Amino acid sequence: MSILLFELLVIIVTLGILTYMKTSGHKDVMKKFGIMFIAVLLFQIMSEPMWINQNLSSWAYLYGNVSWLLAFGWISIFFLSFLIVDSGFKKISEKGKFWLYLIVATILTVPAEILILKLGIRSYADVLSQTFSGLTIPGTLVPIEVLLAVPLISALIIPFYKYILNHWN
Amino acid sequence: MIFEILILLITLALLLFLQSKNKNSWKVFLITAIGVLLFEYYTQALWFNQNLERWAYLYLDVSWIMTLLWTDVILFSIFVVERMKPKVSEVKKFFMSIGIITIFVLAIEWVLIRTGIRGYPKVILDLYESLPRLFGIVPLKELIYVIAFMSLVVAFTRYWQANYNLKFDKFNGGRK
Repeated sequence: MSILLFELLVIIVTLGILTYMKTSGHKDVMKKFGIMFIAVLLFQIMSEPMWINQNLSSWAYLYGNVSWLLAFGWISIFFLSFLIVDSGFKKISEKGKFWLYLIVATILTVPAEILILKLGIRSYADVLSQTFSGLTIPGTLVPIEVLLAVPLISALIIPFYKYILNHWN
Repeated sequence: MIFEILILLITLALLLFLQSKNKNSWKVFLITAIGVLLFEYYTQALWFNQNLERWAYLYLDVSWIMTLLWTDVILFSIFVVERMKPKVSEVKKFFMSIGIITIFVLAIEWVLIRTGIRGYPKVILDLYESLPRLFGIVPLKELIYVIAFMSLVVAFTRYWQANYNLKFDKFNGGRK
């Protein structure tokens, strides 16, 4: 039951963010969503062997271990980061905003990772867990390495999204 | 040792050549190397870089020699596309670069595996065998990984190039 609630929550949050973007004057919202979906999917395909996404409903998977629902979760995190940084730091250059995107995305990802670990949706493959130090973020089950992995992932996904968005007419 | 020196010489030659064509080359090279390194660090659990000299490693089996190798491939491919097809759209250039890079990477991976430099954990080998091989040689899964990897890294380079206004589309002695 809690898994189904999680799945519905992710869909509602994603739709909510997209609706907010559309009603608040953001252009090409579905194009942005599509490009970000591809960016997240590329990263999910690449890192597929590193973790196990389990216990989701069968309809939440694209293939094997790769879930479109978790891709929606990532998209929500990135779009929320853009909304927060772009509205709160309007005068900062794109270069400056980039670092803020990484920070905000990391802050948003940690509670999400705690939730999916607690629900038993996320676990880490042996190839990955063997590289962990064994330290966790205090008070959580989240490996400390997540604090480094999220900015690394974001530092590749955000440029892909921005680059393709700027040039895809 | 021969492999490491070869990569250093290729990198030096490529940088000197590109720098003579475009003054932004070394900066674009640096950005690309950072993108490659980010990805190598993040995906280090997925492969082994082994049998290199000790000085060739940065951290565990993350090797700066391998970073140079992939950076050379990416930058050379971008240069080839910019030189051959300067007037096509940016998105087409992007996909053409990915195409050229993928061919290079698959050939280089073939060599690396056979020289014992590249190895994979069993879980990755099993994944590679979970899909058919193209022409009976290239695992389809590897092809998908290479395209995903390179798409993110090439976009990283192009994004920061634009942010720092590092034009890399005009070359001395280029086509008029």
